[in-house]
Amino acid sequence: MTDAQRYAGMYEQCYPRVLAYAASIVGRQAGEDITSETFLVAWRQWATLHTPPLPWLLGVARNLIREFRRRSGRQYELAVAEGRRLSTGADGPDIADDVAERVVLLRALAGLSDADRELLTLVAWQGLTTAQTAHVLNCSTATLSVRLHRARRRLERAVDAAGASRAHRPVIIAEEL
Amino acid sequence: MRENNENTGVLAALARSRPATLDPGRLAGSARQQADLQAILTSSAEQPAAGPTPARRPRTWRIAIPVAVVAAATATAAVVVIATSGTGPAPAAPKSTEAGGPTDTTQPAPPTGPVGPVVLLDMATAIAQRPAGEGVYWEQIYENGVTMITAAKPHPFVLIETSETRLSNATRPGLQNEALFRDAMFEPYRPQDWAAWRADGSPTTVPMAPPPGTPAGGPVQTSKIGPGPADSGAPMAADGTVGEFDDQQVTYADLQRLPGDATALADTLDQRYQQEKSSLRKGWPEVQWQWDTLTDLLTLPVTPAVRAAVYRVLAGLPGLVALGHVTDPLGRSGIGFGIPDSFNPGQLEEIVVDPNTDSLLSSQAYIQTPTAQERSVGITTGALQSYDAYRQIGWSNTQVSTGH
Repeated sequence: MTDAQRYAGMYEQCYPRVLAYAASIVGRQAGEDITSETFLVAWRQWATLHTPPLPWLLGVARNLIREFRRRSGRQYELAVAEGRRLSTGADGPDIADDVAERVVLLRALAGLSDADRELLTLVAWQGLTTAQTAHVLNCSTATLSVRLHRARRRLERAVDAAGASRAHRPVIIAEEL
Repeated sequence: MRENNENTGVLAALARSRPATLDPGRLAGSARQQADLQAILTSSAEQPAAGPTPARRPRTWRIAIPVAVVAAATATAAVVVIATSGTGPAPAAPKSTEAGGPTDTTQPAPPTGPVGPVVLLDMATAIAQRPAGEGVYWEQIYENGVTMITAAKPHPFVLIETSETRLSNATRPGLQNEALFRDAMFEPYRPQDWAAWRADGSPTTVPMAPPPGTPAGGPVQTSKIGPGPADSGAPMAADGTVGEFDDQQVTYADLQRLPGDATALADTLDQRYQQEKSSLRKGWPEVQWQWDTLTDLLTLPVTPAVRAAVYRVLAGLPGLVALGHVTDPLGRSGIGFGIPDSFNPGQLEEIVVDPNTDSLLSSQAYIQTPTAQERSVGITTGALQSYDAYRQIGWSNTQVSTGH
């Protein structure tokens, strides 16, 4: 197998995951650009790439997003607003038709800070371990564990608040008792 | 206690709640995904590096970044519409740069001279007389800075994150574009911030002040003080685009088609504004859109006639503020002009120009009315929230990194 074939295999697997992350931060359009640049960097560094590559790729995407912010602050702000809408389901199917639990969770998520949302979705939607998430966010695993614990608690409180505003308490609340 | 079992409970519920639009299964297989892969594999980018990433240029020594000094904004010179042709000063030696210029740290005599829009009109006249030229690469080298407020204890201070970006865009097929980003540096911003940081014990990590309006008890973000993570360069096959214009990558060919007359340019931009399709700039206030679009053009390879037209249209923007003699983030003297920032009340979007070299020195976010949070760390009118200070914008026959 050539380098290019191996790369293409990795690309096939990881592209949608990197795009999902980038789009959750800066929206679909800017997310595609960030993802494209990320995989170019990966190609240049293919010989020394970490395996598994996904946390490394997400870390590169994150750095590129920061650079995007430096280059075009205003466009960045608008892209981030779109990313928030995507992450909290505002752009998706009609909320009224959606599963009750999802509505409550996404509403709760919308009330959290961008940093909390990023951290929680890296764990919950990307399925990263604590160590992998720490790598992406460029902090120590110990710090990450504390941050994750606190972010989880805030999400739980936000879910309580969001759930209480609906006639039906979602199943999640029962598990907490 | 569920600390050791992070994926039960609310996190499992969150996992189930991912929106369809962020489902990797649904994002896979797009045309964009395939096209990007082909572009990467067929680009003339070199084979994967056999070792560590290529050495970048060493970090240049930076002078201390002064807060912009603002003279009285009242222009004492009358604003006169300049008749063109033949009445300007004799052109100086041919300039290879449209922006940037020497980083001169000597103290000049106190600045005098006009500060109103006539400065832009004079620059337009001089620029229009330049010969149209063309090189192989359009180069943009600029230092960016963003300031952030820390919640360090006991003395909060302002942090600045700086980095340098070097972009080479080829105008001919078969060549490579390059984008290089120097490692970011996080450090105290002004002398008083350095003093506060030292008094705090010179911490290597500091908590950041949450943005105003953040509910209390929220997460504490932190920042390191020192070099940030290394960013990598990303070469890509030249595709004829030379930079961003109106939130899109624009080709050299399209830029050459712009009209070189101020009235015609204003009309062209007006039509574009009315038909604005880009989702990121749709619905912007008109003057804001005009400002952003015009200042985009100042960093792009347009003909001298178009560049002159841009300055003329800028000079006539409603609500243009003359900020007088200012010092840019690299210590260079220039004249500032700005408009109120529609998205950040209390700030102006500013450009600093140098009428001596007819060049653009910097684009920056100028704080006119500091917020309460900004005041609490001694940020006053005239401070910058962020900037792009141009070292070089112009033609080059070599790429930024390789010199080839």
